[in-house]
Amino acid sequence: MSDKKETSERPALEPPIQAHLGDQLKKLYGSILSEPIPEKLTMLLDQLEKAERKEREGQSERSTDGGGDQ
Amino acid sequence: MTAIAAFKSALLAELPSLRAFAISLSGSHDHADDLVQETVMKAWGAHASFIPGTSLRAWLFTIMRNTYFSQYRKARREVQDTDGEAAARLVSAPAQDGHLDLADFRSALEKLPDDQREALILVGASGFSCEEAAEICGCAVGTIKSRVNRARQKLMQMMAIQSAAEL
Repeated sequence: MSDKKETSERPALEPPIQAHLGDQLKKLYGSILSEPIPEKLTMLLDQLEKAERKEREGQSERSTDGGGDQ
Repeated sequence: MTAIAAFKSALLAELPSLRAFAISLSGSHDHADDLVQETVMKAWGAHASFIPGTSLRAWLFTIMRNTYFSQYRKARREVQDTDGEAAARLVSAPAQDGHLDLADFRSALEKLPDDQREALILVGASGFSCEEAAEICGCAVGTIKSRVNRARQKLMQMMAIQSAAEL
């Protein structure tokens, strides 16, 4: 075949094997998706949230009475 | 719910997807968790640049793959072999049904060039369209399509010998 368009370039993979590869990929990905989330990641979000709240409170205190000591 | 709490719970909901993308991209659980951590911190800091109403997942994946390609790729190469072997040993279970098992597939996937593996994962597993994947990777849709095709062909080649023997 001499005409090579992007779409017709698709290799003639044997459908059952191609489907099998797709299944394997989804299975691998799915098995990771269902793993429990490591605590250090959820704790990181807790810390980020806490830090931001503190920062915002600090900002509003400073803007009202100017003499906040930490 | 405050804006902070809402953003936090939205990020929390995306952690499994971020991990799955990180692990399949880097081929290593250890690096993946560092990568997720860094992505979360960057996303938190860049919160203001997220456009509400657009896909948070796509936004996070963009941050992650840019981080990965700028910092983690080198580290991955250094430990790739031992880590890959260990991972293969861990997940390796004898395939009784004559099909290729997940460990074989996993090591074949890791041998793909980074850009092809990335495209295949985004389109074939993460559920993004080629258009979305192109946006995440910052390339043309046609590039994504041809990377996915080449990835599939290579996987086929790598697994052909085994499948011929086993099927």
